[in-house]
Amino acid sequence: MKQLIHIEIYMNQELEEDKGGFYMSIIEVKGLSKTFRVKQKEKGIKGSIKAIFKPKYKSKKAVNDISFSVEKGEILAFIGPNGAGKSTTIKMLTGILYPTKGDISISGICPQTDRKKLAYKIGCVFGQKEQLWIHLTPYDNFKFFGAIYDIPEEVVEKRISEYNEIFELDEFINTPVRSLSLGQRMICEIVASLIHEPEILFLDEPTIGLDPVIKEKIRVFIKRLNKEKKTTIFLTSHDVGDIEKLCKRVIIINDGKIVLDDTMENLKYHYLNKKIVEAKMNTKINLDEADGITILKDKDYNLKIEVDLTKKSISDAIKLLDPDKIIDINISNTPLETIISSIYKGSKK
Amino acid sequence: MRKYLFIIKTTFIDSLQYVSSLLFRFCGFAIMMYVLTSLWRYIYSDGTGVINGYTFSKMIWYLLLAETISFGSGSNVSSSEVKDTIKSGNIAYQINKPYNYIGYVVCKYMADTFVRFMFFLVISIGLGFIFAGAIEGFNYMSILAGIPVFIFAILIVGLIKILISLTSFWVEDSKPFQHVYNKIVLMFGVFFPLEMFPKLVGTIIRYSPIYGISYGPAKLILDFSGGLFRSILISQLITMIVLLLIIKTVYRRGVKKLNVNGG
Repeated sequence: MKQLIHIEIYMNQELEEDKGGFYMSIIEVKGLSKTFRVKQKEKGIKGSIKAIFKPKYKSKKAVNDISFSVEKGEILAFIGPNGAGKSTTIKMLTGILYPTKGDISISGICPQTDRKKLAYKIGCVFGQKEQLWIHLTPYDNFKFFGAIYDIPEEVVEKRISEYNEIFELDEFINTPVRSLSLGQRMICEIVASLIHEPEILFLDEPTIGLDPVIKEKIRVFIKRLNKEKKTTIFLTSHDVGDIEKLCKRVIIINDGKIVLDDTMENLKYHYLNKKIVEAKMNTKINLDEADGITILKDKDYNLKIEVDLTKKSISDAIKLLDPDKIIDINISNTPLETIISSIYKGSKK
Repeated sequence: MRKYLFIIKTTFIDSLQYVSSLLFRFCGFAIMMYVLTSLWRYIYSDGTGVINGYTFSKMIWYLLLAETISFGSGSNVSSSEVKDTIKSGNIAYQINKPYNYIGYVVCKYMADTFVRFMFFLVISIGLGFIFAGAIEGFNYMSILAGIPVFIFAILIVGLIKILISLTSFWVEDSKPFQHVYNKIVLMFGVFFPLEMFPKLVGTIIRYSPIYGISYGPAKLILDFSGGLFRSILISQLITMIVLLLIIKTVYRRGVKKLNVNGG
């Protein structure tokens, strides 16, 4: 029986390899749901007293029957508006929350029954929470995390010096965490969660509140980590830059349900059938909205229009503007941010 | 095991940051001891040499030793830190690590308490000699026997406080429970030895955790005997086993209903 299973797995692997590469799901989620009980309270003193003696609860489905899988080595963006269920999903995947329904397998491990075993396989960074000991230096913190993951001291030292080179930790490695800037702290959070070289890194809004330089540093590092160590990255972020620059696949969740699961390429291809044309004219022109043309801004000699390429070509749109009167022109894609918010809004309807 | 030793070591380094705050606590401790000593001096001033087996000197030493456990085990780790970790959602970071969360908290608490306890022990011995002189009929064996008894007493206090803090999984604020617990121990364990209470109350104290965390350890130093040592150890071991079982159950249930809000 064992042999048969082995053969079947081997054949499946061969089939996958035939398709053009070796694929293996490192994260498998099936029919996952999470319902919270939220306490309700009427307004005012009367309501507060009533809530003591007769508390009322309301059920809230934070995650509603979602299924997806993530391949080993993938960088996935798991995004959605506030309260969509992103963090709840991450917390179920990392064994922090118990699902109401559904199955999760992370690297073949059930997070809820085998939390300790899972801990060695995953690393977590929650942008809004901290895991570092604030009175200790980053160096002491890294040593601490190395010890709790049973990593020999010399290996911890080696990894600290590796990360030191990447992030130039030398500057602040011996300064207590409480005295570090937000960016330095976040870098230390990431290093601490990678000290055991996990197979999967869960990043929950890792760049929140950071300046563009640190953001870029972190993005470059994540890309490098994924490329060199094949670490699977599961990222949630409201920062479109993170998603655009890092991820090849995106899952959009809204109201606890998956509303889109596609590659970034497809997302852009399907939703980028609109272009933004910004023109500076030498004279005021009166342009009327036509089929496929939406005027976004018309002030003095500056004009901003959106062209729906399925209805009108760019050259037709320019002709409408009268090319002889154009001083300067800029044609750009619809920002990803606009695409994502239109998907959020669309799924709400 | 190495990781738990490392937790102890790291907490120890961390708690050294608070040494200056201990000096302020010392002021509170010294004032309290001065007031209570004056109170007992007044009670004994009517010529009563011995009250329920306690001379003035023994009473003050009892008070100091019981207070040392109470003040020395006042670590924030077992009380406010666990409560705040649950309420803030930061527990998310601690329960998905490759250690037993309760083991982690206990190690942290014991390391943090060690610094405090040693500080208050030294202070208490000093104050004891100033206020009450040497302990009458002191048996040096009580120092040896006192080591495990005091360690277990501190551990039990920590376990009780951790248990109370774990109620934060269900209630908005576990602080009132901590407050009630502190007052009960102060009233029935620290201020007055068991012998001062009516028989029924004394019997209840004798079979409650207070016996192992206040009365027992202090009494052992004052009136050492092998029988007393055994009886305190048995009481402490039973209390620890019961507490650990309850904590395990409460924690398991609490984590299942954990609701981490806010991203």
